[in-house]
Amino acid sequence: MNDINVPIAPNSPDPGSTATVTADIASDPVTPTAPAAPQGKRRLPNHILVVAGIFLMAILITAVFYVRSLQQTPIAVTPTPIEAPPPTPTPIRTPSRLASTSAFMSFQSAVSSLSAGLQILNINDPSFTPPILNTDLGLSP
Amino acid sequence: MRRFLPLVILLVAGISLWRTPVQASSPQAYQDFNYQFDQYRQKLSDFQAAYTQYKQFNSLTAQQDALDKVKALLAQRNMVAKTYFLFLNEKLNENPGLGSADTAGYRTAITNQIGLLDQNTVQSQTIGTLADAATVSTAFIKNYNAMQAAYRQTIVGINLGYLQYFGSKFDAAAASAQTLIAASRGDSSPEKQATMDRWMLNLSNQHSLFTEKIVLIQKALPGIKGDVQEQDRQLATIQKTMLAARQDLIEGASYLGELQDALHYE
Repeated sequence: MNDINVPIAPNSPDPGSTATVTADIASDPVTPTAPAAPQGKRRLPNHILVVAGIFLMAILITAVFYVRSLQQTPIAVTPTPIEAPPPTPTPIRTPSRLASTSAFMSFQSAVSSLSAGLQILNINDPSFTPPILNTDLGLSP
Repeated sequence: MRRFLPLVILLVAGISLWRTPVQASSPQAYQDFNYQFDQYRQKLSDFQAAYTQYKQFNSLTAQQDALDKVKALLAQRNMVAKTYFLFLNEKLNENPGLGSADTAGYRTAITNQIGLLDQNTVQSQTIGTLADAATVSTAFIKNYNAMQAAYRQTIVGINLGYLQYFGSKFDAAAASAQTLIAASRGDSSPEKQATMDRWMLNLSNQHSLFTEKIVLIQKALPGIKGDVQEQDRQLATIQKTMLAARQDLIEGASYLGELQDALHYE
């Protein structure tokens, strides 16, 4: 324990005098410690940074190659000719003597009109459904 | 005034000669029927609500309301039945294949049915009590199956008319083909002649099959009677036969097409 003389404050009843204060100060010298580094600014180890860099470079290179491959035009496939016999030409059909007669033309139009009419003919026409009317009105005679 | 008389006569004659083309009126008649049917459904619903209220409260006001609603309903029911007959009548008018005797037969049935419906409508206007309404409704119900049979028989008749119309067109085309084949005998090879003769034979077979079915339909037509379910069963059977007859004609038309091709080229 050490006794220290401390001047008394001017607004005290006896200014200029000193008082003896007994301070409980440890006599051993205190070793100064290094200030703690801030939490957010901790540096990553160098080997992790190197690995991350290599990884980013790899991604970048892959992306560049991918984009270039997309921009390249597809290689045109050259068709390989297949050996085949030449097709038989369509035989030229000569119209008959009758083809230009009015009788044949009228027959032709009769056939096409018949075919068209039969396609339109609807036996199950939905309008041919007679109305079903209510016969039981619940009235007692 | 006398000076203008020839002018007036010419004007009237001109107007009467200036005829608008005849248009199919069956779509309009069908539209009218659908409208009347919608009205009928609404009136039926109104009556059912009014009658339930009358049964619940048994008050004079509710009774009068139910009476008004039933009168409107009975008249509307007759109207729906009548507009469907009018639609069928239009269809008969447009039908190209029915003979005048057949058309007259169907038209007589329609006229009779419309007469009964009109009579029932007149009776429905004289209804004074709910018991009267029941009596008028019973008169309608008594004729209901006959009315439904008239509908179905007319429908079959209309379809039969169309089939006969196409049947006669088919016969005419086959006859033309026969004439053309005879005319081409000198020009075509024996093989081609034989092919065309086979087509003609097939055409003749199709004609026989078709005629057989038409006879079947004609025989089944008066048999449409009984209750509505029974009538629908009979109608479905007849419709199957009619579809088969149409198919015979379609096949026959395709044979005619083959013949046409054979005759067209050497």
